[in-house]
Amino acid sequence: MKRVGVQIPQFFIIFFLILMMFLAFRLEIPLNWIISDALVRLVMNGVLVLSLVPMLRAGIGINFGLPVGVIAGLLGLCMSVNMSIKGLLGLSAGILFSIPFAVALGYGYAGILNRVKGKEEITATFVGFSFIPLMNFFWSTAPFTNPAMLWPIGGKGMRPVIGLKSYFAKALNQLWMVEIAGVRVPIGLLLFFGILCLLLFLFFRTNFGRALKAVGENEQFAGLAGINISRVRAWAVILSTVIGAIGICVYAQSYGFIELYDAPLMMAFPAASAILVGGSMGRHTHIIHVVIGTFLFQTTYLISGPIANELMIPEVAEIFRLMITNGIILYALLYEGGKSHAAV
Amino acid sequence: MRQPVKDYRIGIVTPTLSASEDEFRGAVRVAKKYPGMIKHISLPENFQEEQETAITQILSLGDQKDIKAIVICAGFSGILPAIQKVKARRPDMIVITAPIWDDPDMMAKYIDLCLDTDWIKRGITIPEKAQRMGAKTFIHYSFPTHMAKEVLAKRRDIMKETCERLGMKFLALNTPDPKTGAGSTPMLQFLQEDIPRQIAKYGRDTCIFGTNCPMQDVIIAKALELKFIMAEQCCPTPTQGYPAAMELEISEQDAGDFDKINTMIRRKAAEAGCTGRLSTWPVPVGYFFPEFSTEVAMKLIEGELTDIGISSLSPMAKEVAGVDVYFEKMKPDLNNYYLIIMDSIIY
Amino acid sequence: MLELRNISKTFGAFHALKSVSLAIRPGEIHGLVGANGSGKSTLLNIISGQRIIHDTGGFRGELLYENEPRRFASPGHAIGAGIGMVHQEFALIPGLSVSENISLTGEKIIEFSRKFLGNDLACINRSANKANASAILRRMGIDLDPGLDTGNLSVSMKQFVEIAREFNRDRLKLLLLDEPTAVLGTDDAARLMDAVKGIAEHGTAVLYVSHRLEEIVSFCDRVTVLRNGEVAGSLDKKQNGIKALSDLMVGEKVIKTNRTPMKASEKPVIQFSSFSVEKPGDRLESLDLAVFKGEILGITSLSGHGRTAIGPGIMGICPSGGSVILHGKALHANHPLKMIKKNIWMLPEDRRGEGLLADHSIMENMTFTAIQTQKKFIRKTPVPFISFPDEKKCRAYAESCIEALDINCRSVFQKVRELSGGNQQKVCIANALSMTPDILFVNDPTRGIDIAAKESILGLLVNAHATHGMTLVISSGELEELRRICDRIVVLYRGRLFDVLSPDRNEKDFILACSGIRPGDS
Repeated sequence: MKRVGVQIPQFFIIFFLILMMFLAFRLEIPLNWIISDALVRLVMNGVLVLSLVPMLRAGIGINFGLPVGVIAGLLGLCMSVNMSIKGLLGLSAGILFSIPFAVALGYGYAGILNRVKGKEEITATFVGFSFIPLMNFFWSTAPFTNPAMLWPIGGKGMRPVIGLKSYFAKALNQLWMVEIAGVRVPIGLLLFFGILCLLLFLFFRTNFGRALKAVGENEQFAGLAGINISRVRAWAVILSTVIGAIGICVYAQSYGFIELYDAPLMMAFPAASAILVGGSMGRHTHIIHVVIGTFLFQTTYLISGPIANELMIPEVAEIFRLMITNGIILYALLYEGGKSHAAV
Repeated sequence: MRQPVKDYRIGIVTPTLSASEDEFRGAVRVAKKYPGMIKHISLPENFQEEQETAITQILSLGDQKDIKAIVICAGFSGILPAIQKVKARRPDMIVITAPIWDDPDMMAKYIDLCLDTDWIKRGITIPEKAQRMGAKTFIHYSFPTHMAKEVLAKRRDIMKETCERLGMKFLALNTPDPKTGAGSTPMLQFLQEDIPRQIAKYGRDTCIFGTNCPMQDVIIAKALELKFIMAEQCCPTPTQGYPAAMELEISEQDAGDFDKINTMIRRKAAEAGCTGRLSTWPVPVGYFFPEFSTEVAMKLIEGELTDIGISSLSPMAKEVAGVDVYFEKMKPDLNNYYLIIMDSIIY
Repeated sequence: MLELRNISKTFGAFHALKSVSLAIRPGEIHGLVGANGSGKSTLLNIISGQRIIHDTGGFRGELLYENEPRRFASPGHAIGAGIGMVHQEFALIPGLSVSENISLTGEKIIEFSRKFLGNDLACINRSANKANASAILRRMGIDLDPGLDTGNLSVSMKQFVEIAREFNRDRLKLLLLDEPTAVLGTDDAARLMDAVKGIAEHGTAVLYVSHRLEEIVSFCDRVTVLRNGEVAGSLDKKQNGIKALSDLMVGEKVIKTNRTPMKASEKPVIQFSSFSVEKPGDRLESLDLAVFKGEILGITSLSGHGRTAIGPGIMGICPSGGSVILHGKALHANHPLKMIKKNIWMLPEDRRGEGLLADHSIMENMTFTAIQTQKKFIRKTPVPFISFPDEKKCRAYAESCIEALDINCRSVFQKVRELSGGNQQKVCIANALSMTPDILFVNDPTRGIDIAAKESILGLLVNAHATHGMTLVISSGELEELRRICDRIVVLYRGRLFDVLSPDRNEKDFILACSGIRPGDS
């Protein structure tokens, strides 16, 4: 009934992936490692990709201002580390602390986006970019006290990279990790992602979720139906920002480090690429696109590296991978553009 | 540590704190050591775009009569014209660069003493050290844009030769390129996943070297986990990679005290069962250069040092760094351009 | 000069033009009249080579221009051949001065600079252009400084500049004017007609489309009347008369009344006094009107004369002024939600643009507004602020509507995008009915819908009115439809109330009223 599934570009990338899997098999690169890593990567990036969905659905476009949410998440994580809360509790505390920041920042960010209707994406990009230097100033003077987070020589201000091993690195990754046929399956991590997806899915089935979709599809209609469009859009932005904050928490625990300063600058782009690779077309974005897209995008990344190193042709593989993923993004953008054109 | 105040001043030029912590803090430290004698200025953050500002800043140092020497620890190219102008106006001004990257012959002509790290020779010293630490395989992680740089590519080739000479297996592996596309995140994620694979394949006695600064956090963290060898980072210092990977808790009064930091690293390495597997230079060169250069400049001004040469520089360097520092001429015919390699500390 | 022979044009199954023939001589001012939808715009589009003709499959028949068969594939070709067209919408660049706009693409350049800079880069001779522009404006009888910024001009002045630009072209042989006086006052219209006459005397042929019959009569040498895509007749100057024209436009139609008008209740349910709405392109000015409880009120006018403004005005979508009294209490129209709470709603004329969520299912469209604003069809959860639509109730409602409104679809889950226009309109009506409004404003309910569906839509509206007792205010350009179902019909002219007519009045009276003429005036 709903045509969601796989289209030509996705076929293409899946074909490429299968080809590489075959090559990896021939080159005796252990596939079980690759699959284990692919599962971890799916979730660690998947939540960030998921955060794009509310804004896309509300017709605001791709959240290139993802750094706003990421920074909220980093603040929460830093607070948790500062209090030396360890293990899963530390991660949960990080997520919990980051939500108020995400709501507050998202509210301001939404205010900006509501003023620039029609130019949201470029504005969001600049909001993201200009927020980073501001936060750089903050990080270098932030009043955190845990010496494990401060500059090693000067002793003041935050380090660019904060290790999490004794706090909550891999806390979620290791939760209920089981090994099936040599493949490590992080059940806790997958479950967390699954629940998040389910919650978002349910959200879109609530009244408010429906209003949000209607605003994305037809603002005039929604307005005539008595919906406060600015408010709905603002909530979409806030929701995106909050999920973005949760996303970086999941990411950081999996990565094992908190990265401050310029690290969030480019975060939005791989996420945007992934969702486009998944077949998202503007407001026609489904949660399945997030899962498919993140999996395909990250797995091609994951697998092309070792193959290239084995074959001693690193540049070629890199070029192929870039061509295919960026080509799909271009296709997605073109197709979306063409569609809106045809509708006129 | 305080020294008697003398009637002249020395100008030190470094990048800003956020651009390069080592040089900046190094200069601050010298300023504390010789209060009132040091004029510390920092260059604009985006040096390439604001070269004019940088040149004006250096010229203004040259215009102050009581400044008798300028020490430039910048790591940029394009500063030489400013030095030429200063020298034209004040031929007596002593200029020491540690380092700047302009044409070596021109630099040697105008600058009293040019210092730099011996980047290429590290292609020999690192594998040698790795072998001493027990390595049988040497893995070199880099990516196309780095390998397009002559110095880095040359160092890789020399590493390969050295490894062959020493009978070690050498692997040059590529990571996703952080300079194109999505920044360093994919590269680091790749390392997170690839290092365990390689160690599973080649065993623990493998030395891993990465050419890019952000890589070091991951490499050291993985070394603690998998117990392979990390002989030296791309920029050898205890403050790169180790603090994040080991979550060093450095209190404010200990910050910048490298003895304490090294002890801390040694303890953490032992806790992780990695004793003898990790190494670096005990003091960051960026931190060492400002102080060492200032000492040299003072001796030159006060006439205690007349002949610059390896024999006269080495003891001074050892005094400042606390370990042996090896000097070598950049080119046989240049008498005032030296490259250094520091002795290592193995934790 | 221009001769059309048996031109036919179809859009899908709809015959817009059926073998239309028409000839224009040089220097002739040829009028073209017809009711809405009679094919005037299509004919102009064919002559001026608009893309839409080409994109929808071209046309049949012969177009002879200067005795040669031509088919202009794009407006550029037509312009190149010396055909100029002035549109109802302005195609002026606001930031440029009047003289720049007039001379655009036909600039006088400094000869000297062309020699070494080429045609595209040559320096523009500003003073020559300015002099030229003021000469043209003078010839048109307009006193306007060509240095002024076009963006600041009044609407009528903009229209003059637009026409002046066509005059400026050296080889203008045929000028197409599409209701140029629609936005002009009587004085300005007269000046414009003088100017047009001026160029016609120089040998340019003019095809003049207007709804203002009196202009046509006084001004055109010959008039062709279109009706339902056919030439209903052609009159020359001597035979011209408003009566004759309106006779031709109307044709011999027998009107059946579907519904006997009810006795007007004495109680006004909603009262407008000096109610104005700033709807772009369709302004309404100081309307004084009372709508009685339970009546069906029709509102008609030519397009652009304000008939669709009242609904958006009261819903607060377009800015409005004046006062509205609902059930004896003053009402401040500002937000749709507030109006929905007062049981007032509107069906917009632009179904796809405003009335539907094209990518949502029929069921979701039918229940959306009621769920969002009236908390109908809702299943509450224990968590505050979170509630889900009750799928069962929604489905039951949607299925009952599909049956009652006879909507042709596969299931309630089908996307409305896939439905035909008539079925889409029915979905819109179902959405409106789900809220059981007391007063429903309906704009152009049968626009773009095929004839069979039109009947059933009208039937539905009448039926809804009868069963729910709601008050309907229907605005439409389709006179015949209004006359069949309405109790009273308001005729607007230039955004003001012109007359309130009973539906059993003669159709000619309506046509005249729409042109601002009372029967017996001429």
